[in-house]
Amino acid sequence: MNPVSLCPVCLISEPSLKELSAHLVERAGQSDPGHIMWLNRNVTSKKLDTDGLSSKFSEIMRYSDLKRWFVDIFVRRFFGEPAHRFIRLMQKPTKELLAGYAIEHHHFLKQWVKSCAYILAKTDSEEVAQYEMENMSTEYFGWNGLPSHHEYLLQMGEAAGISREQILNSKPLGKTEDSIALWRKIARESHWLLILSAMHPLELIANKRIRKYGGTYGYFDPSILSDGSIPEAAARFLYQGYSADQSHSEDALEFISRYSQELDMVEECQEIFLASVDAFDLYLLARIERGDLLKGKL
Amino acid sequence: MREVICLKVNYEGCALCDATWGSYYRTLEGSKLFFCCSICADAFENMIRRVREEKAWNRVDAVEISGNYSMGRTCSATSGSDEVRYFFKHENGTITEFKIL
Repeated sequence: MNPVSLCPVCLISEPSLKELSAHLVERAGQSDPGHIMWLNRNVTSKKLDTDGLSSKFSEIMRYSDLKRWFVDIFVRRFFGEPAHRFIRLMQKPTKELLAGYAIEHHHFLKQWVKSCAYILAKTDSEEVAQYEMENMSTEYFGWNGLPSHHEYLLQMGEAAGISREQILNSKPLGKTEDSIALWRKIARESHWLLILSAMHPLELIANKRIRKYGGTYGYFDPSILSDGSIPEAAARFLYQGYSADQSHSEDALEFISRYSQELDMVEECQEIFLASVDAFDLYLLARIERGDLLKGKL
Repeated sequence: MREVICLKVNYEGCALCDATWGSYYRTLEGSKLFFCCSICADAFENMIRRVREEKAWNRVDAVEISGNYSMGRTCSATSGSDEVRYFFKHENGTITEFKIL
């Protein structure tokens, strides 16, 4: 495959980073909100010409260890100073936040397994297929006689004060819907390695080693698992993700690192990840927004 | 003598977010203001409308904004010698939260 550059907003392919930069400058010049918001959040809010943006972009994409590049981008975005607002609130979560988390994450997980299924359907790699089957089972259907993470999530929602029917019958908030739309598009239209690069590094969110990687906080303060400040079912759900997502996310980074070099797709994998990180940021805000909507109702 | 109406803003870039990307202009309170995109312009316009309603002002002379989309924005606005401080958030240009401080 010839390497290409992928626009992290509209996912169109350009022949090089220089041409991708020209595309972004052109779309920003037309005041397209999506391209401008992406540039503001990920590169700079100060207008640059094509050469200036291309040079900034090259800096962002530079790496000596590709796995570490993914981790560093993720840690800076969600666990840097200041950490994402959801991460700060998760240090001592309220029942409303946990309930909001349960509702929006239900919708996320429904898309998650579909994305995994697309990877499974499109890949010829046995190890990747095996990884996805295990992941789908763990997340949504149950594995080795244990309930799925989705079931643990529903139990957390119930313990926080909303019924599983309310969760299952809910409609996602606009932010969740917008984020899912991107992941759905990636799943339908992209190469399996790009779907994998967009989705699985997101599991870094619950990685136990996040502070060792430079995060100001972990996903949550581990003391909440045992200090009685959150319902037992919430502690059980958080612990499941905490123990599983480390191996999931790091195995995925190993696949991305190896296959992207074999298939000459490194830059595309980086760019689709940048697109996905932006969607994930928005989705985490939806968990907060849902929690705010539940204030006084639980 | 004709009164010169001019809305003062504290950013040199987009009147809402200070980005300098884009090329979008909208005339509000008699001033042609620069915005990076139509969403920022909608949010700014709706925010001004809300301030006028809340304070029963017939014009806003100046707005000072700090904050961002995800944290929300803390602002002060003046009309003549009156001043108000407030907080707001928007979603695609529509005000979703507004509090007088």
